[in-house]
Amino acid sequence: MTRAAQSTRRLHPQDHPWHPRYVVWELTLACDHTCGHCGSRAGRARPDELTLPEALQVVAQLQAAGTRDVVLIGGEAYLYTGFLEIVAALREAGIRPLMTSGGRGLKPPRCRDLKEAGIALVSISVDGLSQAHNAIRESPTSYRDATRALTNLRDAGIPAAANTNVNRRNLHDLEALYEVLRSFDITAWQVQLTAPLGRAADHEGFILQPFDLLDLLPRLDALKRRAFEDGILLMPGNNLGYFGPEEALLRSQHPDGRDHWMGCQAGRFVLGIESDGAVKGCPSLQTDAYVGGNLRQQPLQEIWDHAPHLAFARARTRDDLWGYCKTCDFADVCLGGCTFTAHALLGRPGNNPYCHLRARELAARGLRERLVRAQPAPGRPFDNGRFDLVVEPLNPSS
Amino acid sequence: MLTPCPHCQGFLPPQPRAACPHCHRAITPPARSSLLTTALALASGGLVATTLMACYGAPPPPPGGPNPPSSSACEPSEEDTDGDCSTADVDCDDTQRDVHPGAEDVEGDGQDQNCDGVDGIAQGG
Repeated sequence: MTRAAQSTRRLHPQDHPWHPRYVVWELTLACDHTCGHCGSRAGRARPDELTLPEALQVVAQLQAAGTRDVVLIGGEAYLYTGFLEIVAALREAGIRPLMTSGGRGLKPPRCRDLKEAGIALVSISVDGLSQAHNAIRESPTSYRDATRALTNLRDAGIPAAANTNVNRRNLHDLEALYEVLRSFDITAWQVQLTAPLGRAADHEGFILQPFDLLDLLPRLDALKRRAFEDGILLMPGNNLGYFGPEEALLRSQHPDGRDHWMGCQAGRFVLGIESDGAVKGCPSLQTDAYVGGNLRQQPLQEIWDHAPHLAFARARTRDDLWGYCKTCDFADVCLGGCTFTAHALLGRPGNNPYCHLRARELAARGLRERLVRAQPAPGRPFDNGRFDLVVEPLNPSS
Repeated sequence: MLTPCPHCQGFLPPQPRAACPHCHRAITPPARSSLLTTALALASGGLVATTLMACYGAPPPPPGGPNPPSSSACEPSEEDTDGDCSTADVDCDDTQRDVHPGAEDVEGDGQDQNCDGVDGIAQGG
């Protein structure tokens, strides 16, 4: 694999025209887990998912649009009839096929098939040590299945990575979990916050408070330094940050890198596709608010070029922000952090309390912010409720 | 391009400020990246960029390419006799590769594979 092929995900936004370079594609909502933190509330397939011929047409449209990486997700992507054909078609189109999975069905024969089809990397969701991971999934065998999948992938010669959603159930597992993942020879580890999206919005107890970042980000700093030494790339998801003292280390792919968050890239270089053909600027965005069109009705390029629901981040400025974020010294660069996370917390984007810099600045004034659920989510895939933000003393008992 | 603080390496805001927002030390203008920092950044693939991520996506492979899959990430050593990547100070049985913190612990087999003190998974931990 060449260096150019590996760096397709690292770019300066001003150096490229907007195009769907990095795509996350939900092939089916069918799943063999019903995770308590699942944003899409996966389990049963959507009633009108794209057929294999339609999906192969989507591959051709992605190729024409300049897509370089596609991550196949679900539900569980392998439950989609024609899953291996899609992997092979992406590879044939010069697009790097990747996959994120809970791993339950990644037994040795399927891993061998995946290798033959040309999968480039599979990331297994491991959300804590066995107790937390299994509790989140309400399954006593889920952790075993996930870790066995890592072994099966390795045995099939497929590079394996891991994804972890950090929440109150597993917050204290991270260092021990790193050791476990390292022992399975992972190449990379993506760590992100569980945002109150979909089923996670039904479990207020999962959700971290903004002041938890005061402890979490320094721990991730230490873990990333360790991971660099081990040849493992630890990368934060888009909703972890922003602009704390560890920003460059966290966002960079080299220990000496100076990369940093450059605003939400949804609809700029990132695209999400739901299994019924609905197109969003990012796979995590709320369906109701951010679907720009459907591939059954419109070509991808037309949706990309003309749908305002996809283009919101292209023209975002400080003027679109509100609350604390609007007053921040980094507002012009950060632009309010992760869109779907801010929307899931406060009902609209542009003010994101999950921010290390913000938590530090408040703490320096003896204050912290606490999220209190004000409105539940209605119960649909990629939905959200709403939280109130309470500002209170950093140490309420003192 | 944001400039790192010469004292703590946190980024300085785009608009000049008297002190670093992270370490609160005074900034003497103009604070610029040192030649060494710039050279290191260039050597690492470009001055400043961002890596495209998505919470339902997958992490990118490391820049040097993924590690070739091997049978084990660790080899037996003086500190880790069984080569299961858990050193003896945390491994409750450093002679068995299947026993270490985080291992699968099947309840009822009479063994504490995950070193939490019980056969199966300890409750309330």
